[in-house]
Amino acid sequence: MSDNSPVIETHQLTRRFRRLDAVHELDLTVRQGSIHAFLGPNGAGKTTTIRMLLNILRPNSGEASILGVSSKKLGRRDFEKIGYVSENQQLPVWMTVSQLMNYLRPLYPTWDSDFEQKLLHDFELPADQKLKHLSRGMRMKAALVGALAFRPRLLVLDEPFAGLDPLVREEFLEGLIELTEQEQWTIFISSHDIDEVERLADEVSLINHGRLMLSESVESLLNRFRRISFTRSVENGSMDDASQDWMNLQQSGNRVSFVESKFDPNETEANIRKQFDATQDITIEKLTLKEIYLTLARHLKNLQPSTH
Amino acid sequence: MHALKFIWYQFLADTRRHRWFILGYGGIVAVFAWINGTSMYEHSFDAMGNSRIEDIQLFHLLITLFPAGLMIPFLVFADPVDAPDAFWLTKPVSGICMAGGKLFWVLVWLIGMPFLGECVAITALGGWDKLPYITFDFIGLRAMVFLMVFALASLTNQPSYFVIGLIVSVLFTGISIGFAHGFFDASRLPNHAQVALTNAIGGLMIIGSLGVSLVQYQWKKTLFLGIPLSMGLILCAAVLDLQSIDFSHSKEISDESPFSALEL
Repeated sequence: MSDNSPVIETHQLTRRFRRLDAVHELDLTVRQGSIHAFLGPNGAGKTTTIRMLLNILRPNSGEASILGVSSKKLGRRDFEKIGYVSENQQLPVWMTVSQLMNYLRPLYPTWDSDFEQKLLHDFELPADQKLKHLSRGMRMKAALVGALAFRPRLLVLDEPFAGLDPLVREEFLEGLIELTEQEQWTIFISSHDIDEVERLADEVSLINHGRLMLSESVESLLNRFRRISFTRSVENGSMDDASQDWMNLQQSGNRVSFVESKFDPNETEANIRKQFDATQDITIEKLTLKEIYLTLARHLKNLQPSTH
Repeated sequence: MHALKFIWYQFLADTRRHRWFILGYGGIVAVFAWINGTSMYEHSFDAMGNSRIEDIQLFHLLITLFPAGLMIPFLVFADPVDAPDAFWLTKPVSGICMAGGKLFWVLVWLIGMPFLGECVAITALGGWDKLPYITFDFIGLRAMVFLMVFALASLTNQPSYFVIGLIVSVLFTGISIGFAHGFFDASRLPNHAQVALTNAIGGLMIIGSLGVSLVQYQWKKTLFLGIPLSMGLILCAAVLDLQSIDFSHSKEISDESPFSALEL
């Protein structure tokens, strides 16, 4: 695998549960060294996708590869390079934190004991406490230490923030941000908590009802989406000339608002003025990742009301 | 990690996890080894004045087999073969090694430890020359029963399905034995042929169960193999006509053995 080849690549990946398409023809690419957020609401197909990537579930059709290996052929050697933490993962809760580390250590040739100690210290994990006596947040931290201490080439996190209280979530996130800055890992993180991931990710994919809505860099996404509103000279005039790229178009009296999905600082405003006579008070606002996601979700829902 | 090293490693991990069971089970084994070794039951009689040796020995067999058989599903379900949330499935662990570690655990604690108790008792009674016969029956019977339970647990993958599978297996086997009895009466065979047939069927069951377990762990999938393989196992069991085949070599050694019923 060359340095430029994608760490994760899927082609038309599909998984059905009876009649439901949990994941439908997913084409996804995760670059090496990126922090790729895989976002979507509960039930969107995030976990199913991750399970297919890690060969826990078999796809009905399509292909996926991780670190250059087909997901269906992932073996012991490949898992030595992949760290995985999931909200659903059943940890061996009868072990203490140090027993968990002792169990995992020999499995990974690249395990770094000093780094493990540093992580345990940073996460304030009590080494002698059994996992079953730890809070959910502390257990997630212990799982994260186990997934990081061997310096994986790819770290897969499935809803790591679910069920964590705000303080622990903040600590968890800060720890992760600090580490990723130092280590330059490739991280694939699924979440429905878009606000949290926005601070972390440099690439984002949005999935809804098993279908990929978009996949691009966070910077590009934030740059091309704007909420625009303006005042027209006529009330409730025709909007037939509205661009296809305008989403969530709303008109109230002579005030029009929408989300532009292909914003260009040089052309968008001029185009609006050209398209609609005597426009006034044009305001252009940046959107957060969450707002972009909600806009897209509403847009798709309006386009395909009978899909699900 | 080298395969054999991991098998040992997993064995130790499971031993640590189930240490209280091992201690309890070891206690039972020790108590019966002491009872057998001092042959105190030989002086035990019921109200009619009959010796209670066989009752006690049957009780011994049940009390050592039942908890051990019950423990195996716990051992298997602790690291399920096919569960999306299982910890080991996303770790650099081969399925064969995981199965190897658990089977080694069964061999050491559920077969080896009671066998050691048996050896101590027999040697205490001076019957050490009978050990070769007892070894074959003792280990063979337990290996067959425990491996079948292990295979069923790895096929069913969760407790509720295991219970259903067990009930279905027992019923299906009983019905099949009834049918088999109508076509083939093994008791008409000469003694050595019965023994050979018993060994062949027992060996087949052990190899079949072992194969099923290893394949389940290696494939990490229960859906495709489960039904045909378990049916195959049950059909093998159906041939085993328990009414006509005495599943022991006790005929050959019973008169001399210190406690023949234990050699069931």
